[in-house]
Amino acid sequence: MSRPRLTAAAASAAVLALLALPAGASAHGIAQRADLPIPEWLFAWGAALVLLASFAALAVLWPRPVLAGLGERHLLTVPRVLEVLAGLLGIGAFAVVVYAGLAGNQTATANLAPTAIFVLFWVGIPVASVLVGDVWAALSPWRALARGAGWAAQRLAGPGGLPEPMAYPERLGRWPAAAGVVAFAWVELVYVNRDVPESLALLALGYALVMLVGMSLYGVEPWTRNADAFAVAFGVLALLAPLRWERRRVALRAPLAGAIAMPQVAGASAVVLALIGTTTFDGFSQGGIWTGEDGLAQRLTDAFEGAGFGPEVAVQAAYTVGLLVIVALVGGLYRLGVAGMRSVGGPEHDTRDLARRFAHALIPIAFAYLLAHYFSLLAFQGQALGYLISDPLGEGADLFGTASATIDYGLVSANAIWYVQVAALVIGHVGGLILAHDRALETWSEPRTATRSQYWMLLVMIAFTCLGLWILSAASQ
Amino acid sequence: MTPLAHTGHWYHTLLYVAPVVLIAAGLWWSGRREARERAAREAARREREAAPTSTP
Repeated sequence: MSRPRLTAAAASAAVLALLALPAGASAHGIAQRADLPIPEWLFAWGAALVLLASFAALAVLWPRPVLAGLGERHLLTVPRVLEVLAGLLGIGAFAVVVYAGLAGNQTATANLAPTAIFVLFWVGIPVASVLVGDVWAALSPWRALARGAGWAAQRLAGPGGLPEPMAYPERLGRWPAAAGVVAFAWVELVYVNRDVPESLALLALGYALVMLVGMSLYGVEPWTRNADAFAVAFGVLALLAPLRWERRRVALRAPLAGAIAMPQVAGASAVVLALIGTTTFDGFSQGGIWTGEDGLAQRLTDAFEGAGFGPEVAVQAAYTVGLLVIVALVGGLYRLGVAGMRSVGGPEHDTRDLARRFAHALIPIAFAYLLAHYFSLLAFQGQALGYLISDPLGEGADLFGTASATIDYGLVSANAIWYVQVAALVIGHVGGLILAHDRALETWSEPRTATRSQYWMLLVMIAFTCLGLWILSAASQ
Repeated sequence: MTPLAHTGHWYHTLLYVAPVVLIAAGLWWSGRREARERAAREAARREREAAPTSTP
């Protein structure tokens, strides 16, 4: 058996094994669903049919690459002062969150830091990025600090007074950012002190310090583009936005057109796969297969304890293994699609080249997973910011008169959440299919070969959709 | 057997796997059919090339 086929077969077996595991208890859904008109599994069938129909429609109605030819329209130029103000806002917000974490009440729900980091930052910024563009580029506190410091140093040292930064190692590409995404997920899902505001504040400070050192060595922009996990992840999601911000110029572009600009560099696909994989583990790790009485988590923890680890370390080691395995399985599923594509499209493109060329098709899927998985968290826990902003330390203050606000759990019904989740997954995967189809037409000049090469990507997209719905459906079990 | 004894807990998961399996099977079948058709076309072409050309 050839290597690509062997890879494809191994990845298929792993993915099917993952899909065939029993459903678990609950993902991030907070309320129970009731009275859905059809069983949840039928939504997966419907989603698969939608993808199949979209694929057929693309094959017939989209015979030439289109997205690269779509232009954009200049809308406005933002005054420099706004850029400075956004940077100051980012620095100020970072300072408040870190101070609240260090000096405030150490109960997670009473302190601003955990909600600001896990809800506003990790979920709110991606949603804002997809709606209005790369807001994090303007708000990033460490980038703003580094740019401010660089500007001041340049003024003091005069022209040519500062040494040139070192060249960023090209072969590293975006791998540091991918590792950063997995590390953040580790803190969110594995670290035993993830709910301790002080620990989060110290980690945030540590991350900012690493970023500042990296930017001082390799330059602000090269480092931010490649190694700042959040700048890279949010920047990639912002490629879906209808607005493109570059050097204070704001332009309007067609939906999905921005995604084709994702750089085909080392580690670029790993960042998107890390986003999908870590979100998948978040859902999976709350299901019965993982957390059940005789679940995988317990078995792994027992194994680590048997090897001499303490109970706390053993639990973290078990969850670390789970996180890495799920990320690897998601990566394997994508590699399966790429290997299959190569087996159809011919040997003129190697697997690595194809993996980079088609990685942008995963961006809408990453956002769909994120939105589907965290929508209820954003809708409900996001409301907590109303009172936390008035009492960031959790010590009884009422700075803006909103400290007595509460979370309205009736704001969105459980069924509405389910429909949003299904819609997000279906629309995201159709978006992925469109991007992959358009890129296939660029890659293979013969439209028939291009369409046939995408059979495998269709299978991957349907597998991702069913996996996502299966994990989400566990919330109502 | 334990897995069978717990069928009630996991059988519905198969319903989520089913679309993936069905489409994989469909793609595999269409791939085989295309390969067979290609081979037949190739054989016919070779046969035509090998046939002696008649002279007037």
